[in-house]
Amino acid sequence: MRDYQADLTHAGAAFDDEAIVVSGLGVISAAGAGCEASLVALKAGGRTCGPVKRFATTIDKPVFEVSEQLKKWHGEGTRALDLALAAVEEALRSANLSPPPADLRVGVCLGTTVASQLNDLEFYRQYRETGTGAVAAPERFLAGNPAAALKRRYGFRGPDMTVVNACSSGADAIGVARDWLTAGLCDVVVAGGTDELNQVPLTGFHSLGILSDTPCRPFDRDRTGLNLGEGAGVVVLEKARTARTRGVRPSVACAGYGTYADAYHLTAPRPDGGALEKAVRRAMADARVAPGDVAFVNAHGTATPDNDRVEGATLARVFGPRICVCSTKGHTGHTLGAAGGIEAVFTVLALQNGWIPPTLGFENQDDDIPLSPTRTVTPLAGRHAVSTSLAFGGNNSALVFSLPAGRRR
Amino acid sequence: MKIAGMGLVSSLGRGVQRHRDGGRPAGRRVPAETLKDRHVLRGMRRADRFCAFATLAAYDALTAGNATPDDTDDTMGIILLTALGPQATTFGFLDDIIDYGEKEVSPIKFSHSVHNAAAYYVAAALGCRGPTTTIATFDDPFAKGIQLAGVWLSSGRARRVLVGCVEELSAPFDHIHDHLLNPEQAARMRPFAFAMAPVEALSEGAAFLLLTPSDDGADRLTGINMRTIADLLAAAETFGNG
Repeated sequence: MRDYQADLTHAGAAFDDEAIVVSGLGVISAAGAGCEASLVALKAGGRTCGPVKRFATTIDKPVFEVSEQLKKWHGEGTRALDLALAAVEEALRSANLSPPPADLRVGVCLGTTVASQLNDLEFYRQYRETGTGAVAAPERFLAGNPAAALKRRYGFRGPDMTVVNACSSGADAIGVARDWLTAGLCDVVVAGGTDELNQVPLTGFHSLGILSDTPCRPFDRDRTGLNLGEGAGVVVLEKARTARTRGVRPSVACAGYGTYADAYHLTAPRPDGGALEKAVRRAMADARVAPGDVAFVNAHGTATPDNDRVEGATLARVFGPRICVCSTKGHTGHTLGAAGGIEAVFTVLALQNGWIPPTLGFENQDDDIPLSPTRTVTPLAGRHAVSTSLAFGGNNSALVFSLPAGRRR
Repeated sequence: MKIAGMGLVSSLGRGVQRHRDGGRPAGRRVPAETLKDRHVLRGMRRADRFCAFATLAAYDALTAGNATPDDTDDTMGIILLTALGPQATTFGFLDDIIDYGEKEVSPIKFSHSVHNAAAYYVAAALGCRGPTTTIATFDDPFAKGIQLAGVWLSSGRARRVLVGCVEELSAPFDHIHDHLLNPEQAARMRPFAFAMAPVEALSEGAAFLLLTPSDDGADRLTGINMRTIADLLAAAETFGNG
């Protein structure tokens, strides 16, 4: 396996000064803690899902929990912050920003769902029974806004924003970060998503009837729903000129972002996929690439019947049925607000390492989905990749990542 | 960019003029009659109060800017900011878990407890199909929203943006306020406690602005730090409402 960090810092080809480049990566999920471990797991293709171990529940559905012991946030922190910390520390190290120089305006933009809600059951149970309740949990919540907490911890001087767009939060946070840099609001942005798995989202998704009894099967004819997961995925973005000034030569650019709303239904995707198509086309327009230039799509691919049917048909319409598509939900589960961040990291790793992960769980072609997702590790042919995210509330977002010109695989 | 329209819902009721006139609200909550608008809130039978606050204020900002839902399309963006989200629905979902068990909870309560449900209702009611983002923040929400709107307008992601803040009261959060956030408690030294700033009294409501590019292209709203409805009104007076 190639050394991804060497690839980040010693790429031969260069980007234009104004290009928004990825200078650091950090990730933690059930597929592994860190980029190196994740690459090993994505290539090996093992399934790590199983019954819930971290909390008591009567819901017997497989989930993807992070098993690694996490470095703890100082004082009283949330698990979502612990996960974010693991990814951010790795990303800052790989960007040679540990610690960031004082003269850089560093922004932080993170997506989440669970960390934005005061949904501590023990606090609430006690409050209901006694009319009062220990304030430790609310205090953790009030101090636990992910972007604000990271800004305080690292002393970042740029803007901070916590995006809560449900399952597209991580991708949208990276899109906002890209726009901040383009607008000159800061020099560097730490961006991505983080989410923990706890009893509340597990119960909620169970009530929606979209959890699978078995390991998920994205895009498969016989798919029966999603598996929940947890984790964090973070990229460090900056302009190529800033990176060069710091002596860093990133090998991948965050070249485009698009986002449009369905305005159709709170929990179901618009059947015609029109807003998703616009998001993908806008991201490609930002990146100045045509559908035929895209080497692969890292799809949202949750393995719910609705998502995969709409997303698959839309991607086939935009790129044609021969486009190489993968979903990594079979490796990580659906990590909600972290998913867009984790999948952005996996997309960058695929471009750097020259191979696309298998879509674990995909075996049988669905006649309604005119795509054939990857079944095995697939060599990459091209230099542009798209990562898509669809969300509760009808958000559709897409990111384009690119190798520099002259670095075609 | 400029403020082309403004919409307000609070314990004083609904509408900018009602807030300009001042007066003493009957309580801290948005009056129930304020939410009885069958025209704007049609199709929102399942929506909670938080979503209704947002939709009414956004609708009023849009129409104050001489636009209607028939004029909106995928060039209209929405930025909704909140510190606490739809907390009454969040606690209602926890009630379900405690009272009925994990397998008997309401999927409607769960889906409406997700922070961006309100932005969906605004988008659906007003026909906005452009970028739609919900932001959770305890600090300077309007400043953050306006800054992002400026980025969207200048980059062409949107031609008009509805930016709004929404909050809702709940009894559990009143308890939290009393024990953590009132000025007396906040003044006590608590190591490692970094929370939101002290708050004298909690209230609820929504305030939306319709932002458009200014006629001369000047970014005149840069640097504004708006935290309260009073600040918002003052800013609108300063920069012109429409």
